[in-house]
Amino acid sequence: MAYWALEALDGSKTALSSLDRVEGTDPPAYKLGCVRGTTTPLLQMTDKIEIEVKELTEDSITFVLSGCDTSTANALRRVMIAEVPTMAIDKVEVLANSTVLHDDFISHRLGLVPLFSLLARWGDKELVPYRHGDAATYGTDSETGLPLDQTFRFNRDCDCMTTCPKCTADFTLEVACNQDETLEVTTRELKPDQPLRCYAADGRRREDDGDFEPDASAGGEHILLVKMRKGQKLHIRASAQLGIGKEHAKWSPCCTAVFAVDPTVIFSEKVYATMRDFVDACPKKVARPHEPRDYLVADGANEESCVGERERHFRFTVESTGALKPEEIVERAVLKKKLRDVQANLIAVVDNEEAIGRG
Amino acid sequence: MADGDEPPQRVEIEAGGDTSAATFTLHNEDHTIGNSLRYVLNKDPQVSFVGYSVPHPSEPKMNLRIQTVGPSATTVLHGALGTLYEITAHTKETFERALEDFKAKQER
Ligand SMILES: [Zn+2]
Repeated sequence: MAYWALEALDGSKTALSSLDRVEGTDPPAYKLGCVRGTTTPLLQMTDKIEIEVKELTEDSITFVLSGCDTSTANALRRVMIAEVPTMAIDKVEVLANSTVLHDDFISHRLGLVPLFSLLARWGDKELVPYRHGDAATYGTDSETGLPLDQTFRFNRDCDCMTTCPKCTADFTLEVACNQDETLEVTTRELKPDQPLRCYAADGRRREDDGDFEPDASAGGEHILLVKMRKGQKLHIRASAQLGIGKEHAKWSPCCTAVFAVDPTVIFSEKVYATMRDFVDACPKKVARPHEPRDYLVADGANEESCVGERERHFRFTVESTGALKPEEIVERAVLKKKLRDVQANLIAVVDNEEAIGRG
Repeated sequence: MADGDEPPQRVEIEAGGDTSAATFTLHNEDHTIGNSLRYVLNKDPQVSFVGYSVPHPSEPKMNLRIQTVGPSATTVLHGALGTLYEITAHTKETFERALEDFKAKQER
């Protein structure tokens, strides 16, 4: 590993920005000074990483990640919670509000409404390729004229002065209660200005087979925002922008993202002898007889048996808020872009120091 | 980022007596990268010491100390970032394959 890094620093900078896989090598080798056919222990380690999806529903996924270190599993968990970008309402203009909830309260509730958008992602298309075909397949958004695979940009990275459709999706909510019964204002009333690109994730989400139409027939449960009595009025304009959970929890796509370690149960020979059938009958093979290398355990406080943690085996459960499909959360939770940024910065700093002669 | 803006400086290097030891300050980073990098660097036989800290939870920065048996600490860190990149890329590929397998199994 260090070998190819050394070569890279001495070599050209273009070599640093491309880490191409050498075709047809097993285990994989990478250009950048890593000689074909020879791999470092670390690259071989990546080969052992295995994932098995156990369960997948509309809003949650369970999978087992094995063969990697706790730090890798934890990084995945942390990125899913804090660094997968989504859209959320960030700026609210209250034009009229005579409901019982004050402006700030309603604004806060709006902020927490999960918004579904396939176009909320780190802008770099090369690193996160748009999987669902090219722009021509989708045409353009009738409202804004933007191609439907034009991803949202971070407002701070956008070249507009304040907001524009490339970085912001606007919503309007205008309700007046003229009935005697209590009126429930829900996200049904939250009308998107870019209905194909970003909308409230309240059951109208569709399969991402290329069809962006909000599906009214799918029903789903609209999210209650405020209740009104006769004569009250609410008129709001809200702007949703791209963000990450690190900045505010409303941008986090996960309700839960946890991993648990499976237990292993080790029986001493004595116990195993009496419970052999029972132990062997377990389909999940949770228990096993002790092996010579377990001697520390076997000599421990409890000589009969011991419960430990299964190493390098992490059972993940990820629940989505609705802002992204659960499997998309995992797929997008990749540090790649961030690592590239840091790497590029590191080189820039080294170059800079060399330029001023501190070398 | 508007055109012409300097990219934000995300890495600072505090070099020691020679290049084999240095403390890196990674701005806007935390345990996510810190702990993974520490793990990867610990596996590198050229590294004699590595540790990281987040000095204060409300300060968005992470310090990483690397001492090596000879090669430049910057080089070793650059290599570790590359290795971590490979690990994450591999994890993503593996997940996508696992998901396809699962969906294929569901259809059967
Ligand atoms: Zn803009």
